[in-house]
Amino acid sequence: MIKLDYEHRQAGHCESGVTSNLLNYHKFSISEPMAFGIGTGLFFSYLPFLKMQHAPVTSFRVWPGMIFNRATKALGITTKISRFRNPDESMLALNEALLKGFPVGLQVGTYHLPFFPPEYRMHYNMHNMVAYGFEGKNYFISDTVIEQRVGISYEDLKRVRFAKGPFAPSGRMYYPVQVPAGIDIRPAIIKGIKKTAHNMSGVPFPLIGAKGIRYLSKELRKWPRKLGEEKAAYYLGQVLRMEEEIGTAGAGFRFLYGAFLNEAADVLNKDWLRDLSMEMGENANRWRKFSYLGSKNCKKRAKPEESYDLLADILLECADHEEKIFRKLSKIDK
Amino acid sequence: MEENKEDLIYRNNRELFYSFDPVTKTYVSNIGYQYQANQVIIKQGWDALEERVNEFREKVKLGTLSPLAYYMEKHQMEVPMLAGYCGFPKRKIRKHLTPEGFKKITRADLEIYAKVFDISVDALLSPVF
Repeated sequence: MIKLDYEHRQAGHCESGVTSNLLNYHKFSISEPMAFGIGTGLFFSYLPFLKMQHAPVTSFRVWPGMIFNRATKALGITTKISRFRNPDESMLALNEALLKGFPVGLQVGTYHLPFFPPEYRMHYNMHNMVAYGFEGKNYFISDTVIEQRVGISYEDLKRVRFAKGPFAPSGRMYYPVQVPAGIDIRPAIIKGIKKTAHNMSGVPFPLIGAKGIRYLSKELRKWPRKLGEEKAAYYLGQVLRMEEEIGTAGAGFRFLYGAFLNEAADVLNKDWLRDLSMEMGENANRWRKFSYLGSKNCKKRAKPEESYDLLADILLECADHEEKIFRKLSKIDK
Repeated sequence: MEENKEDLIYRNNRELFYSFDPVTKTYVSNIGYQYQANQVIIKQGWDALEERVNEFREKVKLGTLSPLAYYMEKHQMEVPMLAGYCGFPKRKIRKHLTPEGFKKITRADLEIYAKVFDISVDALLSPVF
């Protein structure tokens, strides 16, 4: 048995929370927004040709694993990241890492996660949590979504680590091995901002970044006529679930990113970053307004003036603001 | 935005949320239940699932779909995912979704399906609706 002295802290998003908490364990104090920003967590893509849960895919985030990988790489931290074919081997590797004294980040599916609230028990394979020990066949888990520390059995853990379907985790586990002394986070912040700024305003493809938000706006305007009220409401609901549900910290990660810019302004001593952080916060509130009014449409309690046209207009405003913000951010090192 | 705790649908777990106060121009994080407006859209997803499961149940009763199709939908799965969990080819599963194909499933395969859905083989063969 082993039980590491790991601090359980809730977070807005699972992967940035896990990254921040794992590094904190290694005496490198970094906030969740900072881990999110350096890890380039923010994104937008609308992929109408891909359907998930019977509706087009809208994503506000990068691929699973990217935040931890990019953040640790940019900070010069040595890590160990593994995937497995054989479930029993993956559990053995987990035990070994824990016995060596490393808390371990795990990518898991949420459908069979016993301690998860029932309303979130969907086939979502991009969830992250930390194992910080085990006693016999029971593992000690810190999950940033859950208020308290939790436990999970060997069999259940094996099952969620090998969940099947899109983004199957394949037992992926990851942890920092060595954190060098005297890390300068400034270059990492600049690198992270540049990457996200490029993703949001510089990709010449209509479904990505601010352009993607505009594309979604155009489509969304047509939904009621094209699909009928029922299906339109379901499609809209799917966009809102991706934006506001579990692990986005609200407004499709926009609050988290704004908080990062705010911190970055302090660290880099750049006042213009603070201004952009405020704009980002206001834009996040705009996204919240979109989801708030949108939910009324889903409930069919929207007034006519709160219809899809209005929602599409709000999205256009979000796109315009984000394009402006990220264009400015892309010039950070000039 | 309005918040009335009594109107909340889900109160199983409190999460951490960030927000931005435009007046004081500060970012804050707080721990609480998911916003009411968001709970509505979460419920919409579950209601849509329930509706689909009901449709599948009727089709099983009418004999146009097999019980396997019903359980697959109930567990929010599609053929590729179920194939992943069972280790079967997709073609084989598609066959088992029809009442005719379902009759020909071997005992061993039934046991594999039952294990994926956490049910007994009896429940898989004749679901209690």
